Order: sequence, then structure tokens, then C-alpha cells
Amino acid sequence: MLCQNCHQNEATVHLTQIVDGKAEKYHLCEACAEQKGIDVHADPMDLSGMMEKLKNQLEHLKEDLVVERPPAGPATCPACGMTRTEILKKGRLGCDRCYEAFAAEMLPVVVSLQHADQHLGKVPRRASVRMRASVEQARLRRELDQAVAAENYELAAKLRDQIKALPAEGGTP
Amino acid sequence: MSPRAPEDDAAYGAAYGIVLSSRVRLARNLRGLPFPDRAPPEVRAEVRRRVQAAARAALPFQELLADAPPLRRQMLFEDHLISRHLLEDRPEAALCLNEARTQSVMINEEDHLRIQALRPGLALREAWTDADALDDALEAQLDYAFSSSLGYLTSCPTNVGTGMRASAMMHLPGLVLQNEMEAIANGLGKIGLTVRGRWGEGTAALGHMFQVSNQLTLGVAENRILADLEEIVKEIAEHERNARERLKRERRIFVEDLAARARGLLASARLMTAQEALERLSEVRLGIALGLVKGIAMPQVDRLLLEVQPAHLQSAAGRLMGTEERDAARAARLRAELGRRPPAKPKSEKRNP
Repeated sequence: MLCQNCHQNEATVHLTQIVDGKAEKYHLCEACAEQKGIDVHADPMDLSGMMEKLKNQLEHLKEDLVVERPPAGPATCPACGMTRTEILKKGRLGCDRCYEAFAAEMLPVVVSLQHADQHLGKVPRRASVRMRASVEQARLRRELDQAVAAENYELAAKLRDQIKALPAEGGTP
Repeated sequence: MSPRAPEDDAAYGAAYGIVLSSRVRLARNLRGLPFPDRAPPEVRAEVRRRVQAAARAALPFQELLADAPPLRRQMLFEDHLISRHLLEDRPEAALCLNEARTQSVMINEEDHLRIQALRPGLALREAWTDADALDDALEAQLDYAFSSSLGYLTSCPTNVGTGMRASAMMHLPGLVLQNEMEAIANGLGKIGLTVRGRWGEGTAALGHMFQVSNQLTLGVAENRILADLEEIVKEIAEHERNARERLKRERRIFVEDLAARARGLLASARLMTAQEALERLSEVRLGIALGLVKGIAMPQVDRLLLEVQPAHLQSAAGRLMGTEERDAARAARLRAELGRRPPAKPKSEKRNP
């Protein structure tokens, strides 16, 4: 079987990804898989061990992080002109807008590299109120999940109130 | 060097014997401009001007790397102030430094800004506090590329989110000599951390020097990354202390021999490669930590670890040198500091009248 990406080399990396609740199979050659940020040299057993440990060590890791794939975007970034092929080949993006333009390609790559899809850290002071609230909400939701899992309902109620008090997502800043 | 009291040496060893330094690096980009690899020269120049202006108050020592001679760049690389990436001639790349050389910004590296803060010993949180404050100061004048879901947007998706790479530089001869390093390196990979050699690639680290850092940058807040890393670094340091104790207890003649031979070579060799110097200095450093080497202080070894590197040697000599000339100069430098002093006057006549 040939690689689905370059259609040149023999596909040696076979993956199943869950998109919109449906399993999609990918067959890639080693070079293309590496470009997509997939660790081709990792032992499969090793990888499951890694997931297990990561889950315990880093609570942020969800068991089945489902990648919601936005519809495929344009072939080039409207801001910097970088093409999809170039990005997948270099593993580097051309500009900040590439993340949006190639969300369909980049989101699965980011998730496979980072085992996460939501920033929970520092927010620039210049960021809009809405952006700050959005990260804050994600952080509180994570804490809420943990509080519920730990059956700490008092804390969970408090966190729910805090989430409600945040400026509405998508509202005016 | 001023004479040091033994208690000073003990304090130095306790503070920096295993964890030499802590570092926090933040990747940042300016909103709406192509990343350096994609940007045309005039955009890179614009980025450099803007960042230099924003950094001027905090980091007044600024230099253009593109114009700098290769030896200067190599020197900054050996000092850990610029990345391997910037050793190459990259247009409009620049470095901004504070006077103490503990805080810096690389401009037009893989990202528009690479903010760095360094602290001696295990001080990851303090390094973060420094980097965070510097980031705030820069951001007061710069508009960063940021998304509420992916955080700080970076050229490579491995840095997206916090854009933070925190690392501790560790001297781990005990774990290497006891053959425990590989298991630890594999274990770290499984919990989202990376270990790589300070010099040389992979785990074939020269001079038993390793950098332990976080791998993941998204989905975890900075404080959490730092707390996890610190905990693991402390654990590795504890393993290292145990490995050293076991070496001394169970393989004393082996480790004594190792340190004594290393000292002998450093004191007498006429030609020495950088690789050999780093390895032998590391063995002497272990010997000092175990109390098996007297008369050499650990700070002296740490200074030499830097001074024996190619750019430092040539910079001290004030000229470029060929390989053999460098090896001779390196050996001379080491002999001058670690060579045996001329023997004292024989006392035999007193003992045997």
C-alpha cells in the first residue's frame, strides 16, 4: 500500500484517529508520518505505557481526546501564502494565521504532539477581555472536572458559580 | 583566585554539585507578521527594530548576530546565550542581554522572540519569575500572536501554548557510571519530560552533563509544568547522590582511580581535545564531590569546563587557531592551573640525619 500523503513510498505507519465520533484510518510512509509529528520509532507497547503514566502525572490528559476536525480550509494561507504541502513537509508554520487557515491539518498534529487542545497558561495583558475569560473558563472547567471526579461537590459548586460569573463566551469584550 | 575555606567548597558542592543551573525559555511572536523563516528581509528587520526598542530598558546590551564574526557567535553559543540555530548566519538575528548576562532575548531565531532567564542551581520558579517579568515588560510595547485555545502561537507546533521550555542542567556521573542513566532517560520520556546531553547528542553526553526539560507546552499552566519538573529534578538528584554514595562504598578503588587518572592527564598532557578535557574534568568534579580529590575546588573545575571550549580558548588567545594548536593551548591552560607545583625542598636530610 502506498502512503496516502505523498503517494510515493510504501505506507509503514498505520493509525486510527477518531474524528466526529468516527474512526478514520491513515496509512503513511515513515517520512510523512514524521512530518505530521508522529513518533514513528516509539514502540507501541511503550506508547501505551506512556499514555498511562502521563494520565497519572498530568491530570490534563483526557483519555479519549477527540479531535474535532474543522472543514478543510484553503490550500494556501491567506496571510503569508504558505501552502499546506510546505507546512506538512517542514513541520513549521509560516505565520500566526496559518494555525487558523490550516486548522484541519494542524489541530490533529498539535493534539498528537501535546496530548492537549486547550491552553491553560499565561494570557498576554493586551489580550481582550473575551480571550482572557475564555482561557479562564477552560481552566475553571478543568478544575471543575477534577473536583467532580474527587467528589468534592462544595468546590464544584463554587467553581460553577465562578464560571457563570465570567463574561459570556462569544459576547462583546 | 582567592583561597577558599573548605566550608565554602562544601556549600558550593551542596548548591551546585548536581544541579548547576536552571533556565526558562519563552517563545513569542508578533501578531500578524510571518515567522522569521517565512519573513522577507524587510519584515525581519522590522521585527528586530521593534523588539530591540522594546527590550532596550531591560536588556541594554544588544548586538546584531548577522554581522558578528563566527568566533563571536560560537562564544555566545558556548556561553549558552544563543542557540545552535543562530550559529548559522541568519539575517537580522540579534541578541539582547542584561549586564549580568542572566536574562536575554534572541531575535529572529525560529520565533521572533526567544526570551531566556537563567539562575544558578535549582531555581526553576525564580527563573520563571524573571522570564515572566521580562515578558510582561516586552509585551507592554509589543503585540503578541496569541489564541485563546492554542495560547502563544509559535513557528513549530511543539512550542505552542505556554511557549515555555524550562530546563535544569545536571551533572550525573554517578548514574552514568552505575549504568542507570538510560533507564532514567526512558522513564522521563514517558512522563512528558526530555533529557539530552549538554554537549553532544543523545545520551552519549560528554562530561556527564544533561539537560532535563519539559516536552509538553500545551494544556498545562506554567506553574504546574515547573512544579512537575522541579519534583522530578529533585528525584533525579537524589538518585544521583545515592549512585555516588554506592560508587564510593562499593567501587571505591575504581572511582578513585578514575579521578586520579583524570587529574594526572589534565596536569600533564601536552595535547588535549575538547572532548577529552570535558570528560576528564567531569571525572575530577566527581572526585571532588566524593572527597577523593584534594587541592582543586569545584568552582575552578566549572570555570575550566567553559574555558576549554574552542571559542573561549581562541578568544583568550586573541586569534583563530587550528585544531592541533587549540589542543596544545587547551592542554597548556589546564596544566597551568592543575599541573603539579614544583616539588618542595626535600626533607629527607631532617628525617635521616
